[in-house]
Amino acid sequence: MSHIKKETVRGFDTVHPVVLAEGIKVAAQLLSLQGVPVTNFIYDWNGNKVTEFSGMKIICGLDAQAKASTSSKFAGMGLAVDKNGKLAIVGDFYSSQQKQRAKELQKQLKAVLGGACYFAARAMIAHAKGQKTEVKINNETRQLQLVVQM
Amino acid sequence: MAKEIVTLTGDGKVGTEMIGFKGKSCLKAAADIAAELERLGVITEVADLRMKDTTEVTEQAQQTALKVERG
Repeated sequence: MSHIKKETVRGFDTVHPVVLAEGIKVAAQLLSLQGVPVTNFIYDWNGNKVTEFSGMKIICGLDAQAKASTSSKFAGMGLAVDKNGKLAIVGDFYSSQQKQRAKELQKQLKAVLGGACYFAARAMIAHAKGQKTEVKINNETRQLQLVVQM
Repeated sequence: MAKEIVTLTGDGKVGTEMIGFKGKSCLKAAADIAAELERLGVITEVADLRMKDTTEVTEQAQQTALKVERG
């Protein structure tokens, strides 16, 4: 656990924390369609499954393969919302390979998170209005679709 | 029935399509949604806006389609 670090990511400063949390789930689903394994935990140095860090619940873990002390494997990138409502990246990125993988995943995440927050917010607005919604997952085109009956 | 279809692509782009609205009521609905999104802190930029008025003056339901792609 001691190796795990937290990094706050800027760029989604205006998004409401509840929307951000839902957006993270949508983004993870989208990345999963692109072949990124998604779990509800990450691994620490010793291979323990970490689901919470510094009071933050890890919403999802991206590409958690093995304990962080196995430098050739990736221990997972945890996504959370910190106490200030900002996106937090949690994980043990020790070796250069792990750092490189973390960088790639962060880039992929940043590319989709804005759209994912829109998607999540739109669904939340529909639910608040009592409108019927349906989410369709297209594995072929790797797209998500939300249908709102208005 | 009027509906909105929101599509999220693999590269994070959002496209919305609003269909089944009468006349220009879809523009009002789109503006209301944008205002609510903004209240939740979701600020968007419209990259491409296409409106196709498919209103038919027949006994068939009048429909207006609005397609928006957000960058």
